[in-house]
Amino acid sequence: MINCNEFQEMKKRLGNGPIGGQQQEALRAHLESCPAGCASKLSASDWVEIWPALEAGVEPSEDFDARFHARLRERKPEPAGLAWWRAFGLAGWPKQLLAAGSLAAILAAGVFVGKYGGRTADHPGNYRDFAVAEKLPLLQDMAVINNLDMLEDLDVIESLPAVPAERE
Amino acid sequence: MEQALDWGVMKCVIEEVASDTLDPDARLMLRFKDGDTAAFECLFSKHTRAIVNFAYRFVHNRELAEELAQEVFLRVYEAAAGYKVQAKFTTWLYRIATNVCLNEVRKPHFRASHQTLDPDPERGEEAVVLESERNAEPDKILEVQAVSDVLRHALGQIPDKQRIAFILNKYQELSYAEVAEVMKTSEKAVKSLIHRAKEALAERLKPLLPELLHP
Repeated sequence: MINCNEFQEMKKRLGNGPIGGQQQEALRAHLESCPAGCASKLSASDWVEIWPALEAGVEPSEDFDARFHARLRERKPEPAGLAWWRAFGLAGWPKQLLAAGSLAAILAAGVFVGKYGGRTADHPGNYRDFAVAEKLPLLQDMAVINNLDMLEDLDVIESLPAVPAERE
Repeated sequence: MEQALDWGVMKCVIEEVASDTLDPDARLMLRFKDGDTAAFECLFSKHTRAIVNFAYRFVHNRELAEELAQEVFLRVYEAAAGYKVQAKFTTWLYRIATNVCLNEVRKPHFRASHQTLDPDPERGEEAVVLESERNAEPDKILEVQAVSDVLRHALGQIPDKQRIAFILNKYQELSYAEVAEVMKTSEKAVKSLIHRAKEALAERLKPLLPELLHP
């Protein structure tokens, strides 16, 4: 328990900056029990000066962390760049290794598509693309496109009468 | 999970000691930006208490203060992708916290429900009782508590800028320069704001003081 002189010293120190937790408690204890009535001698300005030191802070609740993480999960998935690393359990891997692995996978996929992509057992590659390209003018004809159920049979579409020149 | 977290915190402490060039918290934030979630956990556990208390100075309600503090950290989390080291991490953090708290206290329902001086237990408000108070004289405890209540209420009524400067300097123990950085103003302006805040608080307390101390 501090005496009145120590209280005055502490009060002066408060003007220069904050004081520690134990001193704060000693300050408050003195004000609340001083027989000489130090509290009643303080001016309004003095009170303003020492008041922040009298105000105890609060400790976060025990479940603060858990509640925060629950909010975090429901609020947003991951910041950009984080999610896919985690999804594949790669969070702990070195970035260079991941980058090299990704590049190798892309190259392998490119080689595979280049070699086998678009081919069937009966036709050489790109056969279907040529077939569609040949019938492109027909597909672009609005009269045909409006009658979509006929698109399934391109031979029927080809045998349709010519489209009138203007339909206003 | 808990073990992984502890290791994350330990790792960041080791790095803090090793690094003296960049603000250690900013370094952690950059690591988080690169995908290291343990770095975020480290920042979170390091600053939780300060931010909860900062919010508490605005709202004087523990539950709401915790909600606001969580909102602050959610914003930090979401802002990671665009984070650039432009100032101390705490400056940036307090800037976010200030915005979140001001948004809350400016809401009409907050203003309407916080006009009373007395703490309301139903809203999670408690008059804090310290260990030392058990040996104190009940009348004097009440006197000190009454003065605190008046000043707390008065703090909620002074202009926002004065209040922010006062809280950051007197409670969060930020220097004038740091407060200036948070508030994007000059040190001189901060000194002036704090001086005016003290004057305003004293003015409100002065007429009530005789009654509070000699009821």
